[in-house]
Amino acid sequence: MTERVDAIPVAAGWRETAVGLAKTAVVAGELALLVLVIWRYSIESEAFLQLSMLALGGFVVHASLPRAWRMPFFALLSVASVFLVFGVVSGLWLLTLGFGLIALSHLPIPWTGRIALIVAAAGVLVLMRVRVIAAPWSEAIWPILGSMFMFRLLIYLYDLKHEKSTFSLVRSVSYFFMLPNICFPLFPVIDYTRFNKHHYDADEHEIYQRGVHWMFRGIVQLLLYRLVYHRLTVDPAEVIGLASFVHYSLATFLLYLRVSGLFHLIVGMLLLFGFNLHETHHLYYLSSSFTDFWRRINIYWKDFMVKLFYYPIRFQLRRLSDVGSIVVSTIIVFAGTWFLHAYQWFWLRGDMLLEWHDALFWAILAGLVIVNSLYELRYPPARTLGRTAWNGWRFAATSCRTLGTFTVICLLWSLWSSDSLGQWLHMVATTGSGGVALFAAPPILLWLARWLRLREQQRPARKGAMAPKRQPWFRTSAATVAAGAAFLVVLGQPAVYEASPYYVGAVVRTALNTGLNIRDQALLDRGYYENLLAVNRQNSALRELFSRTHGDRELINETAAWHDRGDFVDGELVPGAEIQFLGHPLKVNRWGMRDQDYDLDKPDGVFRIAALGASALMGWGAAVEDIFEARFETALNADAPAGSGVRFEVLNFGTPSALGLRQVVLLEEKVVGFHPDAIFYFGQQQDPKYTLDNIAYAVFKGREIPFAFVREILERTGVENGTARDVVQQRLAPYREELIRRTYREMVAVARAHDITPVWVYLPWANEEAMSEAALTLQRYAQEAGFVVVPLDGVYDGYDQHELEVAEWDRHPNALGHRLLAETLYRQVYDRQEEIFGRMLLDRSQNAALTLKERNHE
Amino acid sequence: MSDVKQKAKAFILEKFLQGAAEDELQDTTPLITSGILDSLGTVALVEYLEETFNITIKAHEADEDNLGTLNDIERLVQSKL
Repeated sequence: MTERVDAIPVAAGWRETAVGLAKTAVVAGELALLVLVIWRYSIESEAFLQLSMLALGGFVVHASLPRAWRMPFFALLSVASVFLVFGVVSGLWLLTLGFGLIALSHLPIPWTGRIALIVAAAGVLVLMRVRVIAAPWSEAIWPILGSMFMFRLLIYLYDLKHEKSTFSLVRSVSYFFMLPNICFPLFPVIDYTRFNKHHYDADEHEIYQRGVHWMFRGIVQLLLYRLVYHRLTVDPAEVIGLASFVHYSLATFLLYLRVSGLFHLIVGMLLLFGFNLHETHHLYYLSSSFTDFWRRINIYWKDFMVKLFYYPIRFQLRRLSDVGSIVVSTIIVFAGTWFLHAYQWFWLRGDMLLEWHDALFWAILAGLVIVNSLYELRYPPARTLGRTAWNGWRFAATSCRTLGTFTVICLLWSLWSSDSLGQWLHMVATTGSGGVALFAAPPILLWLARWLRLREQQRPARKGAMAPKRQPWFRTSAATVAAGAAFLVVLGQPAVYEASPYYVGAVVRTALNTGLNIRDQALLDRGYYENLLAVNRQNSALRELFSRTHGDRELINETAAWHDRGDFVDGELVPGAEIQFLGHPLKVNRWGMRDQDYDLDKPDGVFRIAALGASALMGWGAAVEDIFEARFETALNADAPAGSGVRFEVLNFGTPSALGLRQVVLLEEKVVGFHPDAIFYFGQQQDPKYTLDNIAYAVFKGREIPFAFVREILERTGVENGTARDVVQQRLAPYREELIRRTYREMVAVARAHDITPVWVYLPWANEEAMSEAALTLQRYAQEAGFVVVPLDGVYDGYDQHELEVAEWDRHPNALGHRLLAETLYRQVYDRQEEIFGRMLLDRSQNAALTLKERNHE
Repeated sequence: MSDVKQKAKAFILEKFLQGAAEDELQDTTPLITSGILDSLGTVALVEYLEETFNITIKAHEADEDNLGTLNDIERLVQSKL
């Protein structure tokens, strides 16, 4: 009997242990699947993938340790992550600087003395950040050191002063160097007290499961962000009316998915180590008021501002009326938010962001929150302990409020994401009377919401039902995460998505696309968060650490191989220049081409092709022998029948940023002098954009535009020399189609006047869909203009885009990309040789394509 | 239930949870994390506690530790009486 009684608790204990182990194993399995998704979809960076693998191994060990050892282990793992990503030397620098700041906070001297020393240290770091004093460490350290200390040190000092938490070396290391931070310059502002207080304050498996759940949610948001970024974003120059302005505003607000996705991922990872933190964002697109928006978006930031600024100020101002203290403290909080965003920008990017439209954004948001707060002071919002009792009136009122708030925030976000206030005002001006309705809609919706709410309150009150007791959700959540992650991994396999229906394949390819969209490829210019998140693109040392590859991002126009012409073409390669560019020698021949030398006079028996295009044709980031134009020339000559006396020359006139009209100038001025038999113009997705940009730049600079039809269009739009580029682009947007068609016609006219066959080849980027709608439109224009059209459909089929690009941040084709381009170009030209050469000049029996492949494999 | 808890509970029910039954608000019901008290509500509650119990609450004390539940509020007020 005694044995039986003792056996029951022992058996129960074992069962509990077994269930616990099984749950830990389930979470580890889910995490492993998420790591596969991170790998398959290249979430963030190569360094983050390695960090995720470290987190996976670390999680298994951490969860098996006794509770008392877990925080020290997390501290060690965090330090290990510093060395994993930054290496020994930079890692040591980062830790030394960090430990220095922590040590200053704990010096056994009076509080004011410590603060003075920290301010002095920060001052020295500022001087180093702006390079007044040379820093002995890598440039890569700044954004990460900034993200670890710029806000968290303020919270830490506040809590230290008020003795709000427990302090120890292990806790400080865990807090400042916390595991995922090393990969994320933009990081949620985590509160020190909360970080410590909520460590394992609930069932550990529930915490872990919530962690992987949030990580999965974060990944989904990041993939949705890619769809928005590549498929929905609109260039401000394309905003020409109400519909495009609404589209632009929506897309810019949706881009914020990246921040909320990253923050979910980061905080989710911390939950795996027992830090039971709360959500960083909560359904912010469904905010029903401006104060509600402020509470739901970046909740950690709101908590930080409330703790360090709002409460101290409001408590100081309590002698004022409620209205007075709310107004003053809210203004100070938003002014502080504006300043601290500029401060954040400084540490992450190295310069200050103090722009009028930025200040205006925060000022308007502050005004809206103040009005909303005062309204709530007078009419407190209904809160309930249970579920909201919905009825038609309440639903209608909430819908109107949510839609009104969403519209205002979208409009505000479009202002914040614009390059300037002028650009935004010009976009608004294009909306006409529809714009008036758009701006009038929110107040009407909010008034309607108020009216509906009053009507609802006149009805007999119905109590909200008590919230049902939460059922155990571990299994449901685990099943969702595991099934979702497995689905993403399978869908991300080329064999699967290429065999899927067209639209599914297109969506997956977009979700896999880590490159820049068309506008950013050209401008690298985006909204506040987009620019902050691109800090590793701007900081080459950090980029190198994160991507594990060569991190150069040079611009050709900043090298000795480029000279400014001061005219419509703007610039070109310097004849005879020899430089090292993006890791390869760049040698320019006496005619200004990145090519071997050619005589001006065409030798007898030579069929001469002039290749016209932009940076991809010039071989940006590629070795000269790898350029598809050179390989194409080799293949042509390999297949010219022996004894025929025919030889091919392909002259590379590739000039960065010169597409469209600039190429027409170069064609007349330079190319025709070489007496080519054919010109191959390599058109690209950016043709229309570059055409508009080039005209806008010339107008802005006051340069003469050597095309009567362009001058006539400019007269129609009423722009004058010196007008800002974005304004010119917006005015020209309605003429985009006309401009590109006329450009192609001009090119064909020049070619025909010199008895040259004009050939138009569409040169796709590796991340482009096969012959997208935009490409097909350009192809139609080219055909109508009289070009012989050579499509390169399917050139990259079967390859992952990352295998084909110079770097993660540079979509230009690498050696493999060039090889594939050369092979496809050759095949297409072979099939159209009578049309292009006027006769059969190539003999397939020598199988040049095969020869070409074999040569390249050597 | 202590006087502090009763008064704080009555204030919260009247000011922020109109229509809720008294027994729905328990001693351990989260007030801040559940959204019942936002920053405006927190300041209003602090002012009420200061006036009612003739105590002073500092800005850094207006947090989840001290105002997170009715139990926390009681502990804070008792420590200052």
